[in-house]
Amino acid sequence: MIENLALGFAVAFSLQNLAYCFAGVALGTLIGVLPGITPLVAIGMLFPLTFTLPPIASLIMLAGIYYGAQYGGSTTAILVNLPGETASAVTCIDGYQMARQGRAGPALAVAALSSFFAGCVGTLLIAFVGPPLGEWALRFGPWEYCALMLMGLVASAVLAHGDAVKGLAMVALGLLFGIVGTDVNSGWARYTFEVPELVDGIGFTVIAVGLFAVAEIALNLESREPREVFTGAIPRLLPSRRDVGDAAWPTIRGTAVGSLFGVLPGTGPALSSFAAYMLEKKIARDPARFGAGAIEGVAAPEAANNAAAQTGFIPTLTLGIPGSAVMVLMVGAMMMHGLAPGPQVIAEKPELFWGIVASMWIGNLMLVVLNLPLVGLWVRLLRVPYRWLFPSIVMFCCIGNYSVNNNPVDVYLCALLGLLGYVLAKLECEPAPLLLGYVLGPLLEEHLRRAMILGRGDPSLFVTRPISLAFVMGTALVLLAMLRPTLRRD
Amino acid sequence: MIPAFFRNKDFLAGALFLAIGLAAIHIADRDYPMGTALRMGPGNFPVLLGGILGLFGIYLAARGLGWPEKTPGPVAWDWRPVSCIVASMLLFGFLLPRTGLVPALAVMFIVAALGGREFRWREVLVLTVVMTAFAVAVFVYLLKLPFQLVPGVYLL
Repeated sequence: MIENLALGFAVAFSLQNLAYCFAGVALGTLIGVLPGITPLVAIGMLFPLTFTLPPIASLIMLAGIYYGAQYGGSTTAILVNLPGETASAVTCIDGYQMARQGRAGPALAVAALSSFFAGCVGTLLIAFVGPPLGEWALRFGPWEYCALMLMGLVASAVLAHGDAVKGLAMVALGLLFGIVGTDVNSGWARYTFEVPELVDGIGFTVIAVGLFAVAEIALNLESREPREVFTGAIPRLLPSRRDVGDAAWPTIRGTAVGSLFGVLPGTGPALSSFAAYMLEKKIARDPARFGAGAIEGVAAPEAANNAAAQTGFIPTLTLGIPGSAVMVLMVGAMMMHGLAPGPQVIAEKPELFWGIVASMWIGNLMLVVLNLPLVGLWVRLLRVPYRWLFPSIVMFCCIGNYSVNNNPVDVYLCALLGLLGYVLAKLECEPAPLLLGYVLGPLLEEHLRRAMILGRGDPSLFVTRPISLAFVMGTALVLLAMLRPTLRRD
Repeated sequence: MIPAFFRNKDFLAGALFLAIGLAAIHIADRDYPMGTALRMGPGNFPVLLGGILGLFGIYLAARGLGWPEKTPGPVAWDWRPVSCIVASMLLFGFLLPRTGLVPALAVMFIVAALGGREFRWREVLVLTVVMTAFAVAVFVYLLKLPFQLVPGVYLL
């Protein structure tokens, strides 16, 4: 364990990787702070920038962009009362009240410090839980993989916000999108409509940027510009001793809640921060303070969403099954570099796995160092009006997609998927399950075929092999949960 | 007079899913071999997915028609922003190989900005110039993407 972490730190502390980590964290924060840009859009936009890098550097930078953007999102939540992303929606409630009471500084500092604490715990958890889980998963046959993917897909549809049936339909649609292109087993080109560019399938950036960035811009332009920017000076940044005392236990509890939720497929940071907030409210001696600037209401959800963001890497890196839309982007990035995510990654590419784990911790440290002193700069960024931002985001989307294959067809496809994403979003269909289906589609089909061949056409092995049966039952449980709407968050 | 269910989110989503599912089944059934349970052909999985999607579509459409009081409120489209954004991207893709990066970006910015709530010529022009310069510096100069700037002119 120790030598593994040492290897990781040796990789992460190379000058080049430190620089990419820093670049990722800084860019991520910069973009995450800008109102109306979620971490997902940030990653989608900056994704093509990382293609030319070596795989480790590219993943380190992407991970940096991710938690940088998430951190930036909480800054926006506290200062503008604008939940840039669902994960920081709860932070708005008490964070913004604190800012209005002149305690914006302590709110930001507590958000940063509790995130950092949660990030440290999360990194350690990855280091301890990841390898044994990966080793266990090495024994999986195609049946286990199929059942696990099925569970992940169903969970992402049911546990995410929004209508569960629509989520399941989106998963099926995503799986269909994943089929487009040449079938590896038979060589048949499926659903290519005589478009030569589709023979290789729909590009990952095309679908991610189209469904998330393009559709989201269109949606943002419909709503009026939501603005009550906290423009006052921030008098005092450091929290008082009492603030730290008040925030300590909520941070620890939030970290625990977040770590748990992060590993579950489909839940991700958003649900975890909500759950942590509800927990604090429930056990508080005076629940009435929540919503009126309680520091616990900032510390717990911020710790939870960062812990979940970190532990979300556990299923992604060890099983190759991403739990949230952002993790899907990470898997997509690995695939673009020719790395198949899965249990073999730890064994075959230890420097990659441990390098990423170590760099996450370094990235979290950089965030604290970078963000607290630079808060003044971020505040100024908040005043950039959206009408200047959105054409620039479109530009990034265009150039990014064009540059992947140097082909305009990718830009056309991205635009059309943006249109589809807009229509689906207007019909209240969440795009995240679709993206998950798209990434897992080819894998699922591959494993399903293999399972049928190895089992001589007998599907009963799915329920007679114990691990596979456990996943099948897990899937059934999630579906049952769907029928009990009280367990779901709308 | 447009019937009420035509603005119902569940009905529309269901109809869309059903249409895509049926199309997927139709194409797979027409063009791709099915294979057997032992050796699944390229058509097998798509038909399965199309069927699942279609069933969800039928359920959603029926829910939209049958229990309109239980479904989310009517959908309110606003086509201008989305069509401006989509058009600006299509134009960018069309123009870049033909006219180079600078004209393509100029057109993209102006068309995209038309989708905004307010359009101020001066601001849009300044934004276009600044961001085009930024794109040339970052993408062409730093990241060395092989774009021509204007017809026949390359930076590198």
